[in-house]
Amino acid sequence: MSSSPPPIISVRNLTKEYKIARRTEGFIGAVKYLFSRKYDTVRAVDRVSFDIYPGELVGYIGKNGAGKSTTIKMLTGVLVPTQGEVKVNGIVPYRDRTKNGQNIGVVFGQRTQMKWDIPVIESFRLMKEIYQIPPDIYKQNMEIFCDVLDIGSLLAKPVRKLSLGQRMKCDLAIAFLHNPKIIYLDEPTIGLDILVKENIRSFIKTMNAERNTTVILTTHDLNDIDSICQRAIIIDSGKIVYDGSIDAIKARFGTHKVLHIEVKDNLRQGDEVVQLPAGVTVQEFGEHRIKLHLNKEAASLAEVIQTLIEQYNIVDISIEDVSIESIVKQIYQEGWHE
Amino acid sequence: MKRLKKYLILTEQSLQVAMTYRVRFFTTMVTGLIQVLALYYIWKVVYAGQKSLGGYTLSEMVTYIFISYAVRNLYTFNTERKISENIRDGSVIIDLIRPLNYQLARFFESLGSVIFEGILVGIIVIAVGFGIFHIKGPASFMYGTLFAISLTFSVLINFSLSYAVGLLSFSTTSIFGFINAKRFISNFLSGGLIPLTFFPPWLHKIAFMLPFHAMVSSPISIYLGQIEAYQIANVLLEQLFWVIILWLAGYFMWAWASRKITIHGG
Ligand SMILES: Nc1ncnc2c1ncn2[C@@H]1O[C@H](COP(=O)(O)OP(=O)(O)OP(=O)(O)O)[C@@H](O)[C@H]1O
Ligand SMILES: [Mg+2]
Repeated sequence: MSSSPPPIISVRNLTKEYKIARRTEGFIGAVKYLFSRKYDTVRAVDRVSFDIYPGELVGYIGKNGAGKSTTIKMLTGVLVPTQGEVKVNGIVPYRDRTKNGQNIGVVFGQRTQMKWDIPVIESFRLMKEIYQIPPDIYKQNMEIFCDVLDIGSLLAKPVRKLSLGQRMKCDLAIAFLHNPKIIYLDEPTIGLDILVKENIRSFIKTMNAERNTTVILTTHDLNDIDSICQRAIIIDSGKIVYDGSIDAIKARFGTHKVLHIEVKDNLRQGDEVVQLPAGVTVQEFGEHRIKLHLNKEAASLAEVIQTLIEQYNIVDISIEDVSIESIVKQIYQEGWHE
Repeated sequence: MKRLKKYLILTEQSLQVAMTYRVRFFTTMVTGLIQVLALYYIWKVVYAGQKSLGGYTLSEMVTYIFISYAVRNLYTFNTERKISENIRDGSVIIDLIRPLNYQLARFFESLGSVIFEGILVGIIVIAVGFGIFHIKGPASFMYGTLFAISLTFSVLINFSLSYAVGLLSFSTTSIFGFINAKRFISNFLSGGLIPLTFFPPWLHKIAFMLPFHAMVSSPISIYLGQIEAYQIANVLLEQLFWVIILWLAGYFMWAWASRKITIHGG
């Protein structure tokens, strides 16, 4: 092995606290608020440390409100940390925001960078000017984007007429337009159908393979992480609960499934399922629904279904992978033990 | 040159945006014409046989009405709202990352509507003035040229004030009250509604201590040739003074606002 290059992103004990003015309800509350403000502090990111190396594809995952966006904002320099250090490509982002801006591309999935009323191509032209992208690079990139993301036919449309998926593809292309070394993607697949998701995933992988672009991505879709990233950082209540390979998570949780069973019988609390094999836990039971969590390694799926069929009049069964939320919950509660 | 190009494309694109709002253009134009006509008939009644009021003959007053409307309309008041919305809805974080100066970017962006709604509507209103109401042209070619320079300063002052108000108002919940108050005060104290010579002396004094008069009253008095040639330099320098002061004020306010945004997360 050659000696590895220094990390492109280095974060030590990064912490962000938000101050939230405390308001009591109603008119009296509003009057009080006029005269004195008390603040609650929320620690959104809590002493987070990690290193990310050039060309890495990192998934940054966690529940709603875990602190993902807050971390991304500190990495892009639009938020000043309360404590701790952050260095991106040798720059402290919040001190040198625009210099840092030259090296990074960002997609905030919830908002667009594009101007609403004018054609998509104008937003590309704008980027070309403000990042002073040389014409040959601009041309070359536009060809790649039209090819891989299939956005050629969208360029003449005003942004407000795009569908969510079309808009997201354009925003993604814009983020990559000036050949940044690092790309931050905050929920780039939110609300998209599976085809667009796959298109976006393959685009990100292509760009990473061809340009060695470092990518940090947040998402609630485990499949995004699975198909794009080699490494995951899991954060919960602002703290890192896992930082390691995706393979290790899959080895641990890939065998975990969630079963939703709909039955004709009217279920009452109390008469819970009987005789379920070990490794199965009942998560919901009542009305006409049963929700089970099982580890395929401990319990056979067939055996569990067989048991259920014998006891209930089953209308429907669906089997899902466990969600990120429950993986995080489990890792958080039980810790990560090798 | 390259630096300027980065900003000129903002103007070009905001002009494109402005042109998509054609209905707004027509309503601006129609309400503008209605305002000007209403003022015309009011003043006609007020003059009722009198030769001159507040130092203006009726025909000078008619010219004042049309030109002051065009000057006042040159800078439409969208900047405040756009800036406070930009900060409140969080889209400002995109601007924070981009390698552009926020103040300059907002200025060049606002020029789009200056060109479309300001200059274009102004030209139409003034054309009506010349064609139907026989308003006067500038006192001379030189006065006309200096008027144009004075207008440029007027736009800069207007922008700087709106920019500062926009930045102030993002932290209050009553942006609209704030913006309307500013609009009323600046229309009134700039001489946009009635010439400042009609003000009682104390108010006249106050008006000349504030920057507003430099937005409307100053360029018009040059247009009408009310200022001796040798004094025009003073008027322009005073405008320049306000441009610098207010631009600096905006600069420091952005430093303050962006610190707030990056510490409190908007
Ligand atoms: N500007 C703000 N002011 C106050 N509190 C904030 C602010 N932004 C975020 N928070 C709080 O900080 C915590 C972390 O928020 P953050 O947006 O980083 O979460 P997230 O992991 O991105 O969640 P999601 O998956 O829902 O996007 C939350 O409790 C949130 O309420
Ligand atoms: Mg988020």
